[in-house]
Amino acid sequence: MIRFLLRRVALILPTFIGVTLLSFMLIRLVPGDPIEIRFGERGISAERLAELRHEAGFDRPLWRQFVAYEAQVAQGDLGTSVVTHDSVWGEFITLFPATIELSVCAILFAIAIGLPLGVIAAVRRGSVFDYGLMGLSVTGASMPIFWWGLMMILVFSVALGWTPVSGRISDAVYVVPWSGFMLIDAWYSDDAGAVRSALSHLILPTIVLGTIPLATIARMTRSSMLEVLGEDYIRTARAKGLGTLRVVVVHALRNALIPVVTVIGLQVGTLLGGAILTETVFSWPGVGHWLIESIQRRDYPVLQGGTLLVATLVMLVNLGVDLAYGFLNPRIRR
Amino acid sequence: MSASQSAAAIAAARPPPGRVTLFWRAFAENRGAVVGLALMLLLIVVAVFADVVTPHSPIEQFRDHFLAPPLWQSGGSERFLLGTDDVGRDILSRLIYGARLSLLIGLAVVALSLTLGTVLGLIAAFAGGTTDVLIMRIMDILLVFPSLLLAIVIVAILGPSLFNAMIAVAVVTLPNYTRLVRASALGELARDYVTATRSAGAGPLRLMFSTVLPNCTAPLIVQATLGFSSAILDAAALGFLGLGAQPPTPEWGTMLAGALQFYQRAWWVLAFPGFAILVTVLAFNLFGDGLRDALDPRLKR
Amino acid sequence: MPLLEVRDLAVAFPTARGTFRAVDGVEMVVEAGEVLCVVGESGSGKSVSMLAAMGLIGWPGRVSAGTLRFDGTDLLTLPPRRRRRLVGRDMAMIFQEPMSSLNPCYPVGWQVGEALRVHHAVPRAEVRGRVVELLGKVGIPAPATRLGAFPHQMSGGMNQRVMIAMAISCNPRLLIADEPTTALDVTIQKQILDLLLGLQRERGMGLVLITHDMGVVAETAQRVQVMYAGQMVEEAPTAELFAAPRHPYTAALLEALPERALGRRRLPTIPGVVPGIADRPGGCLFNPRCRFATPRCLAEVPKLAGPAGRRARCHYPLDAAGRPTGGHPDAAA
Repeated sequence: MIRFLLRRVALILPTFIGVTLLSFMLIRLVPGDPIEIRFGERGISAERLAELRHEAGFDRPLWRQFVAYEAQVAQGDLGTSVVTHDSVWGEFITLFPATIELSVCAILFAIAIGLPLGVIAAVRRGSVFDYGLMGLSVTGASMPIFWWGLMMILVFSVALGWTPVSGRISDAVYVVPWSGFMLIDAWYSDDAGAVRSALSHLILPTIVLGTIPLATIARMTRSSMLEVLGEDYIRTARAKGLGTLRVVVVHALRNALIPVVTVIGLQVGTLLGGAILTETVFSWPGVGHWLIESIQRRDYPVLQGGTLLVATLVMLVNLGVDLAYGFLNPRIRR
Repeated sequence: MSASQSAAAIAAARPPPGRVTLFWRAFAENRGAVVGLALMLLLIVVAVFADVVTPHSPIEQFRDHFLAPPLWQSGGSERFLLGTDDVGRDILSRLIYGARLSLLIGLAVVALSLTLGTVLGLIAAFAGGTTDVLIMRIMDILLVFPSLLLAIVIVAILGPSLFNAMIAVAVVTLPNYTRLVRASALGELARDYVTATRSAGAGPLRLMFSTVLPNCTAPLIVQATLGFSSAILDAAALGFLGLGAQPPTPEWGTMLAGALQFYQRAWWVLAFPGFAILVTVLAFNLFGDGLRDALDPRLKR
Repeated sequence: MPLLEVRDLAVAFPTARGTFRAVDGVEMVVEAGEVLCVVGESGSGKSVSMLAAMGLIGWPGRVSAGTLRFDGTDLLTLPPRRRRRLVGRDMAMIFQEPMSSLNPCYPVGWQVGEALRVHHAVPRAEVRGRVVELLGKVGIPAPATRLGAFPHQMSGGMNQRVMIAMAISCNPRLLIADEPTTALDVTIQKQILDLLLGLQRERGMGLVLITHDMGVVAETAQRVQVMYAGQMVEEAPTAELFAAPRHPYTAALLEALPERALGRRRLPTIPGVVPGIADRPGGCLFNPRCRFATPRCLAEVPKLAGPAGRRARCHYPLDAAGRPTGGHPDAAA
């Protein structure tokens, strides 16, 4: 198990260096000189520019700049926003809980609904329920979620007035931003309506971001479950006189989950991509919203550092999925 | 005369059904796939004959008809079946031209990433060694980024435009094709017929394109169909974020972005473009799923 | 009262070309403590009929039967919950592929203990001890150390022993073994067979042994049933079947045994294959491959005929000399 873990971790390193190379190239490839961009339209004298370029090391050979960048990243320095002059890491870490909160809720929503639906569809294969669910699932997987979010707002916020249009919590309630997770902060708030407000702000974005993972998980669970239900060991389990529920939950589900966990893990990238759109639609103050704003403001250090952080995150989650896979499937554990 | 004769002869001999017939039977068994195919054909026809079927020009502004509601809503008229947008342009006409644009985007993106991905995948499979590791590592790195984020970054570098958005989406989907081609080419290379062709003196290029590649077309066709839908979706998302096609281009995502500020007053400017995206993507996904099931004998019941 | 009584059993599967009856008109009586062999080529419906008796035919297959009784209990009218209480406890089954018949996700000890726990065969605290005892009984060395082993860590023979331990865990009165040795090495086959027969004798279980190996039949069974294309074509006590087969198919099977072909230049074979979904002949299902077939065989479906326990499904059952009777044109005048 330890060796399995170490091998996975070792594999991740070259990918990480590649990712930093890409994010390093990002800032070098953007049209215009980064120093000039920093000073914007006010302009800067040629001597001062050369001086600043030298200070920033932009006159050194590219590979030395890359090594310097690597060293900088290794120390946790991801640069400074040219708009707010705050460190990129600092901004990321204040906004990140909002994105985690939304993504975790979305994936939990998708698993809680998609997994049982997929299992039921597999057990009742060929039924109206099965066909209906598969039709809905391919529709969900084709959903342009930015539009889906707008439609939700149109129906539930504008027409019915059930939920707020945007943000994480009502201005009327006071919440101490302690953990950054609004549900937790609202829980500890003195204001009785805080949790309710946080939940009502969270529900639509959760559904919207969870739609595609929900469709994918339902579909994957169904096909994986169908395959497993045809295995010899399921026949053995039934030959023991076990009831359908025990056969499905104890014997089939555990095996069927192996590919599903991988799919859920692979959804993390899609989920973060979707978070960019969902956060934009709902003005959710998270990392996705921040990245889109950074482009509009031409705040390239933020885009660079943010992208690097998101990619690293995906990599770490993939590693976690690998390990979970090893845990679920004893055959590949060594 | 010979046609009817040979038809009779064939009918008499009752040969086993041909490959196309068998394929069509397997495909038509999946009702969703047939619906997808029908929708796709409809979209293609509408897109090709956009000039003929649209009631108005997609950019003509009817100054006295700002935000006119669709036909069935009170105040709607037959002149603008799906209503008009904030500057008085006919939404239906814009949607139809948008279909043309979306299909072209899909076509261009798939063509670009399919070609590049196939070549890279074949090189990786044939060259092996360091070249292989290098190509596949780069693909792994591309895959670590959420695809939309990577597309956004590429557009940020190149500048927002429809053309750059297409390039970005093509780059983002490149690893799928490369991995697929490499895997199937490696599988084929291990087969005896390749060894036979090689010992018959076929050069590597001939081996690549006329021996190995034709045998990995089935998964590639499926991937390309599904790639079509994701290209349309991603390009629309970029348009929505203001990073794709720029106004007044009638691109569906861009139309949505332009309609955002009117959603309280005029739901139709928002509802129809997104619905068009959904239907188009759905059509290609249904068709692609059907293709995969029909082409992959492993999944057959 | 017989342990297992099956009459008119049919199993049908819907296909693109209509329903396919994989098994039709199967009859079987198993007495307590006897060994019955069911023989036939692949695809003859041996396994399917036994799975149907166990209630293990899943969707979309359909089972119908005139009689299906276990120890006097009518299985057809028994509610599923009550039927499951019999299955795995009083009637157990082991399968052909030991490697894939065990769940890869759970240790073998847990899997053997599961039936004990579910059927409350022993108090919970004693399950572990009982599993160790069972694994020892089926010849697994150092059983206490193998409880936590996963199926992929053991050999096929060991896994089949685990399967047997699992099947006998609740002291069943009937054990159905579906080609238990086919997937194993030749050297292991004999060991597993001896183990099964030893357990059968020791516990007085009824044992139904499905096989396509006539050699196994000769060594193990008191009675034999021969199946062809989903039908039972002949039943007989073992010695009588070998001495004087009544059905031409049985006769051909026996002639194809290498031991019986000594002195001949070529091993006789049965031309053709078992008919599938598409090529079912009219009349007797064996007629395309039967050397005695007459127009009557092509037109008329034969019924099982003959004295109880010695029946054959043939219009012209063979006599002791291997010649057709019943008015067959070749019959001795």
